[in-house]
Amino acid sequence: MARYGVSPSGAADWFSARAANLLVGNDACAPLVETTLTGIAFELTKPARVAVTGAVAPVEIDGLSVKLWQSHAAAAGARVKVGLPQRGIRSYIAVAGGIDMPLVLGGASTDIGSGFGGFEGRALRNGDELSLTTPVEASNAFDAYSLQATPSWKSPVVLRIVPGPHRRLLSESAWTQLLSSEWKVSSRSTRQGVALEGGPLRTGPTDIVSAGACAGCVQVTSAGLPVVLLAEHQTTAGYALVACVISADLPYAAQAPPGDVVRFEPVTSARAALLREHLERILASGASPTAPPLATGFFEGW
Amino acid sequence: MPGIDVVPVGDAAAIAILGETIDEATVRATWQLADTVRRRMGESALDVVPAYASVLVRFDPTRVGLAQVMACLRGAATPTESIDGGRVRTLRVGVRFGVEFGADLDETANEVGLTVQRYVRTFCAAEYRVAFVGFLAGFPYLLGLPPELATPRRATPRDRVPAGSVAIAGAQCGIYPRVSPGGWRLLGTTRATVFDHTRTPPALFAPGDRVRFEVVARLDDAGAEVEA
Repeated sequence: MARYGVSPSGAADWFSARAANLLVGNDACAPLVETTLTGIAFELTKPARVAVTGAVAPVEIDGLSVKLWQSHAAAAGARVKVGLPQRGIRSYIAVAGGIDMPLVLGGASTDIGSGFGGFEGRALRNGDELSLTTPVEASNAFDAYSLQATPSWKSPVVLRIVPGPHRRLLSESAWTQLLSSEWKVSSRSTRQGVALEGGPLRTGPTDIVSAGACAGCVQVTSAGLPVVLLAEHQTTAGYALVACVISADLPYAAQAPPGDVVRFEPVTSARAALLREHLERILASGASPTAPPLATGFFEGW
Repeated sequence: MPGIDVVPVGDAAAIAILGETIDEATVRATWQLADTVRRRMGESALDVVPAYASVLVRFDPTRVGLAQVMACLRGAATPTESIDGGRVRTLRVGVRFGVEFGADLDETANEVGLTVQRYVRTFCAAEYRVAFVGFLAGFPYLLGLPPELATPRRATPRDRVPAGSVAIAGAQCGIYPRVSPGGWRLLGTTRATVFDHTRTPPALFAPGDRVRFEVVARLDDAGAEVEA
């Protein structure tokens, strides 16, 4: 759809979203709810399994505290409440079967900027009613992710990067500056991208002949400020994409709170691939209380 | 294809860079390359995004490897399959010019030393081609702005460009499908439905389309007609 200028959109924190779905026996990419810097309370009109992942936030079902990164059986009429995020900023709430959403341009997600897709092309409001797709027999092999398998939203946020297609538009000293600076997440950040304050990078003009972009790309404006593109990014960029946050670290970018410090750390392409592969294995295997803990030696930082 | 550079874009995308300038020959090469890649990769390409001088491919790294994708992009630069010439469509886009409909028209004409009438006439005499669609859903990047009309984009972008604004920036020409922030110079307004998510395809413009702008006296007449 990017050929029509339509952004892929979808969950900003792909790991948490897929995990929530898998926990309730859904397809990894089933429609679910994402909240940003807010909580949500809803009532289930029929019994369903529910899972909440993403930001560290208090979750209650009918007033009883329940754990994140686990699926829970909820009865018809159950009130589910996800409180404000305390670490990280985005919560993901999945219900068995998935939210019943018509596909628009091949996807169920909302494109808030363009105002289409998802629930009426907008953010959810009080009183909205969402239908649930009736789940097929839940066949998830696990109902919880082990502690080692779930991200801790550490501060400062370290985003591992590989050089981007326009790396050469930054001088060596500006590149060093990018890597050695502490950046601060701006409150102007949106689902389009994480705007960073700091520096600014000592750079000349960073205009480029417009080129395709994707989530994770680090765009540097001529003012010398980096922006990490997220799910609802513009399909083409007019400013240099000097680096790319590896896909394994996109969840961290998506969960970085305004005001928090972000640092960039270079890694190789090979390592980026390994780290992604590691996350995919975690997602697929989850953990049950009887499963052995995942080896963490080689893969620090999760 | 001389000078094509294929580089990774993170670990889940790669881009073929064909050049650094905006010109019709390079743009055509991107259409060819994008077509070839789409055909060869099929569903393993999640998105194929052509732009002025590049084609980006986004993929699922659990299904196909970066090295394979990069090899495919390099291979696609010299297509062996014949490119379907296809029918080239021409779209006639009605535009209501005038400073109430294009806030920068007077100033822009003035900057290049033309009367507004002369500017508009020259603008509408040209034939444009859609290079690619990007930035916003449906936003067409058009080649063909007569060089004597080209002016740099505004120093300060606007927070709010009206929907349907026909605009230029440097040698680029485009149409804002909806209200958006924007730094391009606004010349006039069209009522053509540039993007409609319920339509197939959703974007009015596609790479390769020829476009001609026409003066209309009333905004209500400022639609678009397609000549196949």
